[in-house]
Amino acid sequence: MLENIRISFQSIWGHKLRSSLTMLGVIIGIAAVIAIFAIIQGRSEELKSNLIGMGNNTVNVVFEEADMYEEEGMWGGEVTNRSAPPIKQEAIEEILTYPNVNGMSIYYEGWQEAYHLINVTHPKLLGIDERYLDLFPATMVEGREFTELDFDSYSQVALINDVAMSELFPEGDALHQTIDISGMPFKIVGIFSDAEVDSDWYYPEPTIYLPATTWPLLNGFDAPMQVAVQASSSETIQEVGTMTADRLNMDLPPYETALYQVADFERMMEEISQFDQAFAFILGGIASISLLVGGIGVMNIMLVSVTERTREIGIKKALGAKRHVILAQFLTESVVLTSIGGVIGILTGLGIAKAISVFANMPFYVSVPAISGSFIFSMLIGIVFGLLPSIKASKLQPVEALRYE
Amino acid sequence: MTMIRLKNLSKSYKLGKEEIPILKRISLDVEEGEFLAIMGPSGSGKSTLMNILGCLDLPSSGGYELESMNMVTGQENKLADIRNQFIGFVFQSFHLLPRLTALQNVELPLIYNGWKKKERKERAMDALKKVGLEDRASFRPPQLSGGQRQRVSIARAIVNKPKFILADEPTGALDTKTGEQILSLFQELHEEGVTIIMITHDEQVAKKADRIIYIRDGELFKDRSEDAYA
Repeated sequence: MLENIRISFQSIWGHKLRSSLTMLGVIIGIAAVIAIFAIIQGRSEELKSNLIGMGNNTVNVVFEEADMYEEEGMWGGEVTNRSAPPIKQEAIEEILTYPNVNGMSIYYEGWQEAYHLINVTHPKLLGIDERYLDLFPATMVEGREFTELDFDSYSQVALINDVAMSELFPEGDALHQTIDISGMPFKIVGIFSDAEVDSDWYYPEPTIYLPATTWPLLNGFDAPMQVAVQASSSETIQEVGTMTADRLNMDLPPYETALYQVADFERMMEEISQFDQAFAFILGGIASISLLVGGIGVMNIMLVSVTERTREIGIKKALGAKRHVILAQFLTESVVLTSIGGVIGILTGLGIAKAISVFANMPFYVSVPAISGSFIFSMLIGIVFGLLPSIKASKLQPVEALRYE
Repeated sequence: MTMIRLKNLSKSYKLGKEEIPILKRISLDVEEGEFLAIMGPSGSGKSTLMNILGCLDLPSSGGYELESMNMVTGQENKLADIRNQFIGFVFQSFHLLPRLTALQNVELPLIYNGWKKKERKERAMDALKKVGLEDRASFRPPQLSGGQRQRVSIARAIVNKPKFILADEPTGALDTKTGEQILSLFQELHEEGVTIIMITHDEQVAKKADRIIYIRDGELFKDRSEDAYA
């Protein structure tokens, strides 16, 4: 067997141009599959990790009409305008003791203009509680974070990020300055830059944090809240979200029609993977056509090779080579040929995917099943399309084969 | 002791509806250790006879026994084994594989006989020594002269210690001087007791053998006269 493989390499090496042209079909087919797979997989892996858990295993528990996720699918549903009743401190403390719960934050979110002198910015405005920064860490560049005193005494203080700072204070020096939001003054006590919310999907936007306790000053006491919980791992997000929603629902008054809910991640996952499957299907179609063409090329060349080597086959048979020996020799050659093509195709495909991911700034994902699958498939092509020529070779009659010039 | 016995051996080919006889009821005994030459002009059926003797082809009728074993079998793999173990071939155009070294060429019959690598190499090297080419073991056929190539193929023929050597015009592609050397190699082997059947159309070559029989129009003759051999 090893001897056969060695002989195959010699023979392929002996016809470099012909062999490489023959391999081209297989190379292109495999390379296309690998490249597109790497790009699509990269996209969908990123989509999953962003969609589910916002990149840090965090999920929002949303207060909405009961049937939201049931009827309308992933994104539909009526969002209620009513805000939820205040969440009791004991509920929060209880949830924090649940297994796999890393943290929890209740915060407000909105978009409101902020001014400093004639400068204006339209930032994302967050009213954060004392646990928010544990879930969504920010790197302080200057100043300090909020203190307990800030929350308890309704201090009109603000943390702004570097984007908001550059818009409001083009000359810099923002710390301890006062900004104006809806006519209320807020003193800047700290400047942060968004911590590695690790994705190209987040465009750096101006962001201002206020203590959650001051939010009613701007938006009244019934402003809708956001509830976020962080799970210890991506596997437990769903469970943690559901447990949190259930606990919060316990405190709702009986006449309430809206409920705390979490998105059904399994369903979202399913929809994403259906999307992937559709892609894989189209891809598989394109790839099979090009691999079929490649395979026919291999068969053609193997038939030529059998004819060329008729005399060699005759000699071997005269010396006592049995049919299976000849069959194995040609089949090995065909499989070695397409396997080399497969390996080159895989490397080319990965190279192309890498290049695309660098130039088009897209994620890149090396899928081991796709690579090993492609390799096995390329060997399979060798077997399928090498079989006919090999059988032909093995059936040659020694007398006629020896006479062949 | 009789080694090969052909009994009423016939071979014919079908050409359309017509049956064309190539060999007509041939009977022949070859003794163990004999050096036999079969002579005949082209078209006489000598190549067909050689193919049947070499188990490369099957007779249409009649018997072929080698040491009382029946050699007429329809099974391809059985024939391959017979060729491999009992017969050593020497061809006019050598029939060496150009991409293999001399040693590898000599090894081939041993590979098909399932020999282990180390013993195979030793045995093949011994055969090359026998034909005086041990220093050319790593050369490929295109790097060898015609005489050297034929000696490699003789080494290949004897490496499996066959029952007999079947040589088809072994000097046909060589000049007279080189041909002489090849023939004396055959005589050497013959003196060691190897049975040799040589097919040729050259009287000078045939004279080196113990016995000459003639073939013409598919029939054997003891000499050039019209008397049938059998």
